[in-house]
Amino acid sequence: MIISYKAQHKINRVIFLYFPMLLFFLFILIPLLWSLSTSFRIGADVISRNFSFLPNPPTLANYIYVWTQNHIGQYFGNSMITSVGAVFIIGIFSLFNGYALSRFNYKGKRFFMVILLMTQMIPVAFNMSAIYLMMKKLHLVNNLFGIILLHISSGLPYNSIMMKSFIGNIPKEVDEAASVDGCNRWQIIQKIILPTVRPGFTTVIAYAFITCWNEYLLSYTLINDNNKFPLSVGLKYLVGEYSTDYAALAAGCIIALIPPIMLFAYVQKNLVSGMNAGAIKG
Amino acid sequence: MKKGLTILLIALVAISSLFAQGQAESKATANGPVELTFWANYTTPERNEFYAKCIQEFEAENPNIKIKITCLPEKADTKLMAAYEAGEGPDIWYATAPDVSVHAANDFIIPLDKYFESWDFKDKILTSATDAVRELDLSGKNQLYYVPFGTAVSTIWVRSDWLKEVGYPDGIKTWEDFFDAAEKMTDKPNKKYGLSILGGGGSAKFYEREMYAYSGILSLFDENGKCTINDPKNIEFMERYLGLYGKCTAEGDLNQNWQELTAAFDSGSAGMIIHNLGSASDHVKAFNDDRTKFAAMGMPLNDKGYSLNMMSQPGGMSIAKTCKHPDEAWKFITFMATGSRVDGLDQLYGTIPVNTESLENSAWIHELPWCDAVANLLADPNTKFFKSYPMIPGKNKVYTEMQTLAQYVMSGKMTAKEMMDKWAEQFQACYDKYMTTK
Repeated sequence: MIISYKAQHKINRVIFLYFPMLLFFLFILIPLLWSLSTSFRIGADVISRNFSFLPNPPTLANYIYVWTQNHIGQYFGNSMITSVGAVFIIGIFSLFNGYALSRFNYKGKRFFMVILLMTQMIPVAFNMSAIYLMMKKLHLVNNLFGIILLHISSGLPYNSIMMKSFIGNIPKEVDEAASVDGCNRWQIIQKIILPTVRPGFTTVIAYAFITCWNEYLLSYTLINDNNKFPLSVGLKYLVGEYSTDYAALAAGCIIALIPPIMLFAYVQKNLVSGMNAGAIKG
Repeated sequence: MKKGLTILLIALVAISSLFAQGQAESKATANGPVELTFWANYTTPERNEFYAKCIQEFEAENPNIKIKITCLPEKADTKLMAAYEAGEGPDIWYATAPDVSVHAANDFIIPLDKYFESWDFKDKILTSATDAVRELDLSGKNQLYYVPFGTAVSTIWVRSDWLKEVGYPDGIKTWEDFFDAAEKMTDKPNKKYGLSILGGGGSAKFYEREMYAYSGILSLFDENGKCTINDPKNIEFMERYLGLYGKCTAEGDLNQNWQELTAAFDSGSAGMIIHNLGSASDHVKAFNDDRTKFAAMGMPLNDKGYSLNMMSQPGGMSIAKTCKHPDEAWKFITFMATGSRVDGLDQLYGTIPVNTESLENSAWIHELPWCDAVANLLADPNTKFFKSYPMIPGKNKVYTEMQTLAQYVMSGKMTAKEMMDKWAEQFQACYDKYMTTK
C-alpha cells in the first residue's frame, strides 16, 4: 500500500511525538489524580485493595479536617508571606545582578561569579548551626522576615546567573541604540531589557517561588512558634512517627498545589511571547 | 533614580523593623511568672490539642509558671542541636526517643537523679525503663537524663480471622507456630501472604529484636564482651525468617519501608507483620475497628520457654542546662509523667506506659486488646528484656549496612551466616572502641 508523504508525516508525528508525550503526560498526571482521589476518601477506602479511581463514598471530611484541626490556612498564609516577599526581592535584584554581570566588565567579576556558583554547592544543612547563630545575633530567629532574608540569600545567586544568561542573549548594540535615543541605564533596563527577557524573567520568578514555597529545613529549624510554620512544615503534622493519615495528607497537598498551579498557568502564557525584532537601526 | 532608590531602602528598613521580633527567653520578672519553653516532637493535630489542654491544667494549678510550647511535626535532632549550640535550646524537650547520649555528651542537658530520687512516684516507674535510659549515659556514671514516659514494644500484628482458618483460633504462642502459620496463611495465586517483611529502612533493628526473641540470648555482648549476634541460634532464625521471602511474602518486601509494611497488612495482603503499637490507629481505620480481624501480641515464646522483648528506648522529657528554672521544669515533667497526662500521651503516641499505676489501672489499656496484651507482657515477671547496648557509637552505620546485606540474603546472593559473621565483626569493633575510650 503506497502511503502519501503527508500521511506518513502524520503517522510519524503520532508515533514519535504525540504518543511519547501522552505517555509522559499520564506518568505525571496519574499520581496527581490518585492524590486527588485519595483526598476524598475516608477509612478503609483509603487503603482498600479494590482498585478504583473514584472514592466510595466521597467525602470532604479531609479538607475540613486539615483546614480546621491542622490549621492549614495559617500555614498557607505564612508560606504566601515568605514566598511572595522573597520572590519580589529576588526578582528585582536578580534582574539588576544579571544586567551588571552581563553588561559590565570590572575587577573581580570572575571571582564574584565563582563565589555565586560556590554558594550553590554547599548544602544548607551543612551550615545550619552557623545560620542559626547568625540569625540569633540578628534577633531574627522565630521571625518570618528572617526566613524571607534566608530565601533571598539562597535564591539570589542562582537566579542572578540565570538572568545573566537571558540578558546575555540580547546584543549590547540594543543598549547602545537605546542610549543613542536618549535612554539612561534605568530606562534601558525598564523599557528594553525587561520586556525582551520577559520569558526568562518569568521563569526566574516561577523557579524562585517554587523553591521558596517548598522550602522546609530552614523554616523548620529557625521557627519556634507553631503559628509561624509554613505549609511545607504544617503538612508534616499529618505524618506521625508510626502512622500516616494519607487522606488528610493528600487533601493538604492538593491545597498546597493551588498557588504553584495557578502561577504556572499564568507563566505559561508569558513564556510563549517572543522578542521584538528590528530593534537595531542602520 | 537616586531618590527612588533611597525611598526603596528606607521602606525596606521600615518593613524589617515592623517584622523583627526577638525570641522570648525563659525569664521571670521580679513579681511575674516563670516562663519555660517546651518543645515536643512527632506531634499531630490531636497531640497538639492534648498538649494545649495539659498546659492549661498545669498553669491553672501553678499560676506562677507559664509554659510556651512548640509542637514539632517530626524528629527535630538538627533543629534541636542547632538551638542547643546557639544557647537557645528549649528548657524542656520531649522526644519519643531522645538522642540523650549526644545531648549529655555535649553537656546540653542536666542529669535528673537528684530530682528523681526525691520523687514520691519513682517506685512506680518500671526499673527496666529507667535502666534503659541510664544505659544512654556514655560517661559510665549511669545517670538518668530523662524520666521515661512510655515505650514502643515490638509487636506482631496478626490477622486473627486468617489464623482461625489455619488452625490457630487463639493466636500464635511460639516461634514454631509463627513459622507454621506464615506458610499456611500464604495463598500466592490470590496475592495473600502469611507475612510481610520490613526489608527497607530500619529493618536491621527489627531483625535484631526478632532473632534475640527467637534465640533467648539476653544480651548483645556476653560477660566477656564478645558479640553474640552470630550465635548459631540467631543465624538459624535469620535463615528461617529471611528464607520466607518470596515463599510466604510478596517480592516487593525486599525494599519495603514501615509505611508500606503497615499498608500491606491494612490492605489485606499480609497475615502478619512485626512492628509496634504506633500503627494501631491505621489498623483500626483499615478494619473499621472490627477486632475479630486483627490483634497484636508480643514476641512469641522461644525454646527456652519465655518471651524475650527489647525495651525500646522510652520517650520522655529532659531539662536543658541553659534552663534557669530547673525546679519549675521538673514540676512540669512530673505533672506530665503521672495520671491522665501520661496516659493520654502514651495513648496518642501509641506507646505503653512504663509506670505500674497506669499499667494496672488505666481503663484505656484494658479496653484495647493490643495494649492490654503488651501491658500484661511488660508487667509479667516471666517476660525478659534483651540488653541491646544502644549507647555504643557507630551502631547505626552497621544497621544500615546490614539492611543491605539482608537484602542480599533474601535474594540468594549471600548466606545468612556470612551476613551474621560480618555483623558480629562490626559490632565487636564498635564495642571494643567504645570500651577503650570509655
